[in-house]
Amino acid sequence: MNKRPLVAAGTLMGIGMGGFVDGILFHQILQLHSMLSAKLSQDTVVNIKTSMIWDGLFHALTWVATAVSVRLLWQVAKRADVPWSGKVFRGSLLLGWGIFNLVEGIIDHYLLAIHHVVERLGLSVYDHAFLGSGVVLIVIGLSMVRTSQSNLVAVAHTGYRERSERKGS
Amino acid sequence: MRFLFTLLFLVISLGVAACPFCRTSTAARIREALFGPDFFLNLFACLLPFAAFFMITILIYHGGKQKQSAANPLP
Repeated sequence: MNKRPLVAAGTLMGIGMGGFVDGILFHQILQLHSMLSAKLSQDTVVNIKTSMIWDGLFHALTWVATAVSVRLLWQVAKRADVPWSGKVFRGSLLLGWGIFNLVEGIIDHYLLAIHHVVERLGLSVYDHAFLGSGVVLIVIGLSMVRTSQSNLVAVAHTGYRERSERKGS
Repeated sequence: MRFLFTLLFLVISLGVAACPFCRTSTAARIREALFGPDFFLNLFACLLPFAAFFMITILIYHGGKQKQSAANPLP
């Protein structure tokens, strides 16, 4: 059985949804930071408006990632050789969310330093916690994907049979 | 009359005048800030994580696919 397409779809969807959590919760509702808040001080209309445009680009890319993941999942649903496992999918979502926090945290918070979790504090314990949450989510997600291995053959065979029957009817 | 003045002030308020592609001085300053010397650097900073995300997804999708299929053929 090949569960990689399902893991890829779930991971990309988790990345997208993790991105929306960051963008909606941290950027918009709590307003702890924005995409370029370390470069553009958020105390003038011009800077705030400019930041909104870069935040918009971030959200647009997050939307694209989510849309592509829906397409991948649609393809998975039609494939008989890919297991239709809820546990693998849920694990993949967590894996993707963790990858988002880890990769975005390393690149944007540490390497490029264009923003930090709580911008008024600069690089702080919250950035370390953000990376840590990424690692924890990746570990949990991977363990869910891997421990579902034993159930996959049964699930896959059932799914294959059901799909074959549907095609036949 | 008072209502019309209130409406007029709402229409020409700073929020409206600051839309990035309006023909106002604030909008011009936003465009200057947006398309300044750091434009491509900022664009790169926004795109880089997503390039990494899509690469990771491609790696997951394609990595070891043939090996898995061969090891567990379908009934």
